[in-house]
Amino acid sequence: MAEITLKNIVKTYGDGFPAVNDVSLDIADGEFMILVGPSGCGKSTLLRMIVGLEDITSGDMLIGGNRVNDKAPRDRNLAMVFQNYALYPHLSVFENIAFPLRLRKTLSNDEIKEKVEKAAATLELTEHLDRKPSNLSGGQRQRVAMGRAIVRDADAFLFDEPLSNLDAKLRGQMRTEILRMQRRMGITTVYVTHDQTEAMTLGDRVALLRKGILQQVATPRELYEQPVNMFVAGFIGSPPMNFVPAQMDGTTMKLPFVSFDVPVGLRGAIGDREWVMVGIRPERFEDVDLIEEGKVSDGVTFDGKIDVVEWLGNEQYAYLPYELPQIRVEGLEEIEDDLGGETMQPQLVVALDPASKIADGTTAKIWFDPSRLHVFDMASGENLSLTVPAQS
Amino acid sequence: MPALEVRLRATSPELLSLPWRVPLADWDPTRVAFRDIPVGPSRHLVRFVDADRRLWALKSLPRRVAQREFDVLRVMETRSLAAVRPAGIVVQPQDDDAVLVTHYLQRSWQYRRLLMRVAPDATAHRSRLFDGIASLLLDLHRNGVYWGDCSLANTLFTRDGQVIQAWMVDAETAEVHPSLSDGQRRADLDIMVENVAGGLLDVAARRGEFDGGVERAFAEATSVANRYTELWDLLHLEPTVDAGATDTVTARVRDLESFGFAVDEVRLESDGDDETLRLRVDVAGRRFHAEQLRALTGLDVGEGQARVLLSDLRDLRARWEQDLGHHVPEAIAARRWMLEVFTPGVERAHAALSGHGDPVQAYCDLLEVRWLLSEQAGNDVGDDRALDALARRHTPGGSAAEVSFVELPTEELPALTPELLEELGQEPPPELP
Repeated sequence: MAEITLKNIVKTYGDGFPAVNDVSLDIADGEFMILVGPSGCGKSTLLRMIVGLEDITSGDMLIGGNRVNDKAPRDRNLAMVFQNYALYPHLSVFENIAFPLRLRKTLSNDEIKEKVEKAAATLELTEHLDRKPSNLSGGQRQRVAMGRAIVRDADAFLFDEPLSNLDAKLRGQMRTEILRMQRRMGITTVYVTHDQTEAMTLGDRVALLRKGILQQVATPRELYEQPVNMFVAGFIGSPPMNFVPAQMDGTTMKLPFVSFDVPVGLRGAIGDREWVMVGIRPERFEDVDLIEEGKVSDGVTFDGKIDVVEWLGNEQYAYLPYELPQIRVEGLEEIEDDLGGETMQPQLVVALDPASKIADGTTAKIWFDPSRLHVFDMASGENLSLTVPAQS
Repeated sequence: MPALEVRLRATSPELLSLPWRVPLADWDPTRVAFRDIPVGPSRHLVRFVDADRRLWALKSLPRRVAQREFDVLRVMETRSLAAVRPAGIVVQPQDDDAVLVTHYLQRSWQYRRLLMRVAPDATAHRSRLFDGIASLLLDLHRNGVYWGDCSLANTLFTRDGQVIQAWMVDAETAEVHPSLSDGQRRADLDIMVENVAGGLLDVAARRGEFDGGVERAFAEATSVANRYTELWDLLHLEPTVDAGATDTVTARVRDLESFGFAVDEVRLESDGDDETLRLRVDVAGRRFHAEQLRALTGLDVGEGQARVLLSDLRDLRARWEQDLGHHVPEAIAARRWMLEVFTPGVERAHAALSGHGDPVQAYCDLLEVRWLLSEQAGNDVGDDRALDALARRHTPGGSAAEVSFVELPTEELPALTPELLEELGQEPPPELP
């Protein structure tokens, strides 16, 4: 077991393009770290530099305190799980797990037996060790493949989008298996994914990258509640955060659909900016009919024209179109592209309690608490509300 | 729910009319001409379909993965690398499914069938097979392709003269880079060694030879990596030569050509020392003999076949020169060889094998068998005895020709009937992540 330390890691390709740009990251011993971001953000390149598949242009890569920049992949003692997971139909489950150890020729038969049995116990495969893979269920077969990685006694497990190859049914099942294995073994794990749901459900911490630059490293909850910038705020959460341009007029904040007095705490953060970008998560809105009467005056209520309501059983989403003010924001399009191009649709997505009776084509009273808003700088995308002391 | 999208690079009417809207697993074997070709352990469903008298391999997998594999195979095709040729990709309306369509590789063998029939002590055959894998991996790496899952099950084999050509059939994990780092190459080699050892061990277990098989499997798998490293080092050798030492340069070029590498450029660079130069040789491809034969005869064959045929041509030229007592230009000799030796020879050899397999390969086999029989007899036994041996499928042990008798040619593959499918369903192939 070991910690993995990345110090100012840079990867530049022949054409000068920096695929990874000055990334520093400490992955603690036993930690489950997720590398996530849109395609081309550098997450896979980063993982490959840890494994030794990509040369490091500059910076230091340390595993267990030792610099490994120039070490061959095999000498780094890491296990890429599911890299090659073919099971051999005529070998027993035991032998399917054991044979890579035999290949190394450094262990006695007794030592191999002990390791395989230990791995099998971790994976609940003990009673299947003498069987052939064809007699196992789909999930059990995947656990055999994991067993092959476990018996290596690697310092860390690495996963490169391991679920992308699976059909939708197996994906959820495998996610649970991976999490269970990691928790039981407490082994340092680095896991690359483009899927924010995987990132949020699996990781102790999540490192979010964009264009080769590390944006934020935090627990899933912190990323969700305290995103450092618009990109992080827009990437994490489904449906994504609503971004609405807001004009300041003294202490009044004018959104396209409602104006209100800015909470005192936010005023300092906004400073003398005329325009800011406001971020509101869909679940921060409420149907005013469903909240306690005493609470109504604590927030802002507005009349929203409901275009469509999607009822999903455990929740429902209402879509409220609005007029976008004529304002061009430098760099916004780029952020949009990285977030999949749907951030700045001039419509609010509002998550409603399934009990809400709000219907298509009506005008409804919608409520939100302005102290739960995120306020971003229009130019830099920086989250200004993070400087505000947290409010309950 | 995505709409159906069929993209095919082959306008075969029967292929177009396959039930693309339906998941591959649900295709009706009484309506679709499936062929029974067992595949190794695969994480995705693979089916072989006969359409317009050609065989196609169909693989069902998630859309993103299918698209990536299709793209990698397209690149490999443009670089003339030995991989199955992509014929299309079909995005299906269900879930996240797509079907990748590739051309079935004609006259190819799977290692499992080959090795099940080739005894462990048939070292000549086995080393041909392993050379094929080493050469394939070398070719891929020289062209910036990282495989990530090179294994016996992901490879098909075809005969090419006296060598075996290996083909990549599964590119799910493959990546194309401008060039590979040493780390990528080493990791790919490590994966290959483990996979090949596993595959060999599996065959040994199937043959009931597991106990003795462990050591052998590991030694053989390691030998593939050693073979690769030898070739890689040969290509990347940069000796220091004395200025003006043309012999060294010529010898280096010949050395590479003898392995089939065609030299693209020779560079001599000063190390700052006036007396010595560093010799660098850039290699274009591994078709040195094939290009020579094509220039002489117009025949477009594999490097292995070309090597055999060129040697046949040169033997005859030498004999004619001896008979005539004067020099015969190579182009003249080539024309006569084509007409009087090669063309009738191909016909007779192919007929001796009842018209099975590749006609040019049949002729290469005839030459090999004749040589081996002559060596045993101590004198030239002539074509007839060799043809007879081929026809009786009784050739000298260790001959490359022996391999052609161990497997059914593609054309004779049985249809995959509903009954057979059901039978297979009782013991499904392992289905993995």
